[in-house]
Amino acid sequence: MDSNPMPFAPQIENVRAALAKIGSSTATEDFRILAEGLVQWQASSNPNPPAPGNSAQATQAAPAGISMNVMGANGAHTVQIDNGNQNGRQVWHEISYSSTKSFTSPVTTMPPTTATQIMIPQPGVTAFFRRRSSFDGKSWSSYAAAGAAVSSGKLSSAASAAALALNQTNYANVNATAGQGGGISTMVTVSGAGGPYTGYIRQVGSRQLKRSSATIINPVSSAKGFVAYDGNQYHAGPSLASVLNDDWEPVGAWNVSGAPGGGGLEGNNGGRLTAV
Amino acid sequence: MSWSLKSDEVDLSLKRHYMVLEESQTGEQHHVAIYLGHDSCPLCGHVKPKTETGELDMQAILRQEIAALEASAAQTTAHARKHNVKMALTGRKN
Repeated sequence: MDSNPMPFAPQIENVRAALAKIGSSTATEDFRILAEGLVQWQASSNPNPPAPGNSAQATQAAPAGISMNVMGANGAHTVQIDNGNQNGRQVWHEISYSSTKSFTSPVTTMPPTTATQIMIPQPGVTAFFRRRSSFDGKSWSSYAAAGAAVSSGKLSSAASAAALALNQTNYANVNATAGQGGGISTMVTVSGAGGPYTGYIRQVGSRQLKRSSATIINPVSSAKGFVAYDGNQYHAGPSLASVLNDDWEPVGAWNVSGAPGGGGLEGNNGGRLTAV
Repeated sequence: MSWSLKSDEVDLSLKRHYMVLEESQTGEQHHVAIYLGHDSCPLCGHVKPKTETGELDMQAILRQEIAALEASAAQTTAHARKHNVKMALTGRKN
């Protein structure tokens, strides 16, 4: 007599016999139990084969009824876990995330923790999250995904010190001329040290980044205004505040009534914006 | 050196026409933004619709910008060739 019979042997036999008469509800139910048991066994780290019965027997050692929510804001992901009712038992969670939903790309796995709120500072990262939980740190539940990808967003100025030195500037020249005719009342040019139609250099710390030249025609405020660059396009606004979005780089200022060649925040033509 | 129109669109929310010109060999770009909606008075802030938009000749503006870019590039290249100096691109875009 076999002392270690194959799990689900009666069900397997039942399904085999029922194949001859498709439509048997008993065989269908047995097959469901068999499939669920095997799937749960494979997902768990339990070395013992599952026994037939109701669901969740194979993962009995792992906690159930846990939910997870991931939020992204201000350059950080915040993972919030609801342990549900675990009868006072301590629950360990292991959070991992990846840029692909299938978790086939490099996966970052956080150390197991009993905390139910985990903050991961990582500005500008969009990732899929998953969780698995355990009572003892050995027998883990299957992975539960948090759903859609979550963006952490970027660090906003609200999270920075009021007078944070950003150590950045640029070598742009912003000039404006008025009354060119042909429907052009004001033409603002953004250029570099090489003269009109040359790009300029943006300096961030010790890094130098090249920026394209630009021509801005008929800005909202023709007499004076400010220019910013959002990484793709230039923007001209009537006031400094109108071009100080968090993601925009200040470029310079123009003033058609001023003498050319000046500089500074409220400068005449040639003004550039500096924050050092 | 050859400059051409890389992108050309009117942004309905910003009320402006935005064009990006690109040089095919170096990848250098020049941006042209034309505001079309309203003007505001720099002194009192009074807002009024732009009156000159209808007069704009886009083909002429484009021709003028490309001509300026190509003339500038041609002079630079000619200078380098005349004096047999190696040509290079500086800076990086990020």
